[in-house]
Amino acid sequence: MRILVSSGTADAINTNQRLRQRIAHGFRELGHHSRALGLNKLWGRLEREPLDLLLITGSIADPGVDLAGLVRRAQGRGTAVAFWLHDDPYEFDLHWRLEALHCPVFSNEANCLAYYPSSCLARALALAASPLDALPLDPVAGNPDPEVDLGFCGVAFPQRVAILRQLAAAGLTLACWGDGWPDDLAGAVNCRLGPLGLRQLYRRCCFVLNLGREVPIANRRQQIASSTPGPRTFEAALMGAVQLYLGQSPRVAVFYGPGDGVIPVSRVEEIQNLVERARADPSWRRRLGEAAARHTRRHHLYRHRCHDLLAALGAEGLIAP
Amino acid sequence: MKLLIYDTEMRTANGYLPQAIAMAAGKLLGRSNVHLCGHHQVVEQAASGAWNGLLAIGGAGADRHLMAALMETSIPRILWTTEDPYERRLLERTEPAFDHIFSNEESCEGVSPFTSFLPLAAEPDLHWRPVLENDSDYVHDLTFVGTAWPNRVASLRRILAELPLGLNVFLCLPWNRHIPKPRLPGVGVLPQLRLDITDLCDIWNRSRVVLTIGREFSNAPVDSQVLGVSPPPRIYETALAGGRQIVLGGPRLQLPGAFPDLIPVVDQESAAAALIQHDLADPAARITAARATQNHTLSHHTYEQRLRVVLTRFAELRSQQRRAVVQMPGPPQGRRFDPTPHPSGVLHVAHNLVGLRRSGGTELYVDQLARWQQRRWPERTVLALAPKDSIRLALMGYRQGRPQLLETLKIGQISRFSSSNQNYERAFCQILSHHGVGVVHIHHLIGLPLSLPLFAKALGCRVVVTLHDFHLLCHRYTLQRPDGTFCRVHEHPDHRLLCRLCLQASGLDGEARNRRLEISRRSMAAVDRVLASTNSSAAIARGVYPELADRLEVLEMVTPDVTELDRGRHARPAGIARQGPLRVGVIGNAVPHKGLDTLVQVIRASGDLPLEFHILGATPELDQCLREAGFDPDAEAQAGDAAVARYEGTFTRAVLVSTLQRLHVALFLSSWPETYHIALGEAMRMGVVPVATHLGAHRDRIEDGVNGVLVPPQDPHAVLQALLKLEADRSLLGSLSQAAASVSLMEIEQHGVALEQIYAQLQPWRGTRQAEASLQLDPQLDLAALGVRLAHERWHDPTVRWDEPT
Repeated sequence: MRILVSSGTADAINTNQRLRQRIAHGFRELGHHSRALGLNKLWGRLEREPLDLLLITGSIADPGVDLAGLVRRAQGRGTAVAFWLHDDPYEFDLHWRLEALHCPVFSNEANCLAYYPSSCLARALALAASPLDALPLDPVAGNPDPEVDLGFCGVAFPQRVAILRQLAAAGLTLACWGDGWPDDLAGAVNCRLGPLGLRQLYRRCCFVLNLGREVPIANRRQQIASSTPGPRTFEAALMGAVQLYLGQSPRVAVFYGPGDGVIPVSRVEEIQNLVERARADPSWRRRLGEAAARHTRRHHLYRHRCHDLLAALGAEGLIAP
Repeated sequence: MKLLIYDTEMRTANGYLPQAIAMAAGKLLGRSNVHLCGHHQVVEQAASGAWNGLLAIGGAGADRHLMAALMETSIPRILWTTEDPYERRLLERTEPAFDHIFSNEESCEGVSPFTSFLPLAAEPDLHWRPVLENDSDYVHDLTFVGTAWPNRVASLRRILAELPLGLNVFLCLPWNRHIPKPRLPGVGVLPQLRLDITDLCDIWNRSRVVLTIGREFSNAPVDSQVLGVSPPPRIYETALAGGRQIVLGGPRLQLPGAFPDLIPVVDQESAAAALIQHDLADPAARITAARATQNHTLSHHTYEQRLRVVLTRFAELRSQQRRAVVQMPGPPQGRRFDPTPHPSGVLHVAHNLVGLRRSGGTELYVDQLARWQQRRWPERTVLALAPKDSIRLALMGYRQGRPQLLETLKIGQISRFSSSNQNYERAFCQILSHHGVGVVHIHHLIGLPLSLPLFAKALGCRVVVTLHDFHLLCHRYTLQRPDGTFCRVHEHPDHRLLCRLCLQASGLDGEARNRRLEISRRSMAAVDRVLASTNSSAAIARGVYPELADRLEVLEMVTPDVTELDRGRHARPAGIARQGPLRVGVIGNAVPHKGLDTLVQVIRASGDLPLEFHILGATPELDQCLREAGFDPDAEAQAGDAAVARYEGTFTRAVLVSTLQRLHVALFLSSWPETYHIALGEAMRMGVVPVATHLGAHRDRIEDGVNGVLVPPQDPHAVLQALLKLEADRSLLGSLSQAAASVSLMEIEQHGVALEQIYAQLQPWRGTRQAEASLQLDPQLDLAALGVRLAHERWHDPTVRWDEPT
């Protein structure tokens, strides 16, 4: 099959272009011809190249993008069109535009499915990790003497700041990188990290904190809660980090069971006990890290998601099975 | 039975509840016989006759106008409240809209003759989980989930203080800026994100003990607070999920049926702590109790069981309704309405009305139509709404065939780029509800938000649009590019570059048209009929909105006083075609999109030519252009052998007719595709030969060389050549004149009858019944509640307005 992976937002404001490249790579790993392409070049490509599937990914919050025109253009040339949204439920209120398009919608958040109109044929499809971001087998949890107890990388949402303050007050050492962190939080650095930097951060830590987020920027109508793990969960696991999954849905267990390197916790005492154990038994932590990487490579790469996506579209008769 | 289910709340964190009820209803009645609908469709669905009953869920946040519209339907309506007694004050105001109320709170039974108690419940397909049989399979010792109301946090603190350390306690206490952050010293609870009901059921299922603490807090003033005795749905949901519950509820809480034997209720924290420890110490008994509670809930407290009560009540209401119909014309049974019908009211919406500001063809048409409609049906409500200025709306009513200003509404500023404006939308809804409008006929939305058709549709009105120009297709409503040429957007399947060039030349963001199309397309989808005056206008609309094709109709525009035109033609001086210089008329406001630039060039170049211009509709713009060209039109008109023989601004109809009697030719030089051009037909009917641009309605109404001459737009040379040809060939002039005079025109009576047939085909129903009770509700409806959340309420703004964190 010939598959083009594009974005629902112009690259000028799209902060997650790399995901479409990872997804296109996932299709190629399945043996399909696939490329990632920004919106600005998409229209011309649709004219020149016959395609079986156009997959529009990411956010569709930018109303300057003529999605209806794009769908018409693609379908007029015999190309099936589907959407894989990455910003549910936070941007769910803006997804009403999809109803009139009658294209299949894959949502990164299962809880949103009940609220999509039937014309969307909505299905859940979590994000994943990509082997493009995995260095040769050397899980970050292989470091026997990590410098700090807990590491985190991300934006300083209020719930996250509250959690880290609580952990710091409990005597746990932190390394926290990202945006918006208060100056008085020990271990916090306001600097964004790329994949290599992230890997270095994770190697310095016993455990990586997976804090989730609730960012109701356009989720006022139904106030849908988030249950599906975000891409960082899978990316960190692929690197071999052992994650502490805090304050979020227990549905992570659908993706990572006991022993798969993602540990749900809800209390400070649990974390203290885990850190103690990790320091006392580095091999335990290393095994967990290896299990996380192994499990992710077997079940949670983009090629697995791409397979499921194509199977769903084939079952609907929208593409050749 | 076919059941319509409707969640009355504009925003909710409990959307799962109506979904659970809909699931249960689907199992009872068949999925195709149940529809959970949104605010944008509830009125239309209720009025459609396709459903036997409407079950509304919630009630506290119901919108005044939607409820008022529902009250005009005959569908039996039941409200099942979810927030009694805490929102009793709000629910009292909603209740008159319903035939029966089921209250979720037992202490509210009988607050009205139509209120009975029906507790909420649980839905197996959503909430049921298999009870875990082995104690080792449980994850948490104690779980509490609930909003961090201060009383709960205090109770939790006391309970936890009496429990041994080391228990695996799962606490989820969402808080926001209105609720204090919970502080539980000594307990290392980490902030928990909000959880979906499916996650909560998983957590309850894996908890050895689930603690429920009553809610003793509401938004109502303390002295008016009704205290609840009925358990929240959480009790049933937890039970169905297999959770073993202990309830800290106090003496008021009354568990129904056998629940008191299955779920311990205590009113002291120490008693709760003791029970928790007892349950933890005896897993077998605890698991047995959880299973028994689950089985009892399955047998007695699911939504299927509750819905059987609801369906019985619907059957009773339908039976009462049938008896009321049989017994007519006596007084109606129950809470029904005065069924005496009266004609459906119509509201015309335009950018301007006669009497407000300088008027053009659209305003004259609306005025003529509204007067005709009201004269024909004297009892009918005929209204017109338009911006009075940049901050006020004028609402005109028509009585005895004349308009009168009913109301001036001071709304506030609106941008010309407004996709949505809540103040204007609310005022619009208020007018529709207050005056019983059945048909909203939109002529123009300049000065108004593009979203108005969506609100009209949501409130059950039929929506008709007449395309007087193309504002609903593009903000450049003449579809002219910055250079004045017709952009032909309808011929471009990919309009992006075309529009980007035009927008950027206007200083706007190049992708702004997509943002505008987003709302205009959705609004047009809410329109029942789009009327174009000519085939070419319909083709342009169809090119931009192909999905409208089956709702697009051609209805010729009205030409006023056709009889007078015919009389004028018969009184034309004999032999006029052969006499003197070619007398050329320019009729109508001389503005740029009417070919002002071409006209000025033609006039300037006509100094020594046998042409004589008669201009009716001189404008300041024409004045300025001519003077800049070194031409004083007034002086010309006063001189003897001048190119410009007549130069007038405003003119009366008598002046128009007398002028047309003396003209040979009239110029219609519009550079945009006119949608009809009334003045064209007036001139033709009087035997005046049109020289017109080859665009839009001119192409529909003129056959080149048969009844007129078509020229390219913005081509003064072609215009002059056509005029000189006619001047030189008076025989041709005569034959064209004769053919032009046979043009078919439509008068108001014929047009009005055809239009009313279109209205009638749409079967408008709102305003045909007057509800007995008026509602003391607040308006809640906004565009987002209708399912259309815009990135920004002004389409030219490229930013996205995100919600503020709570």
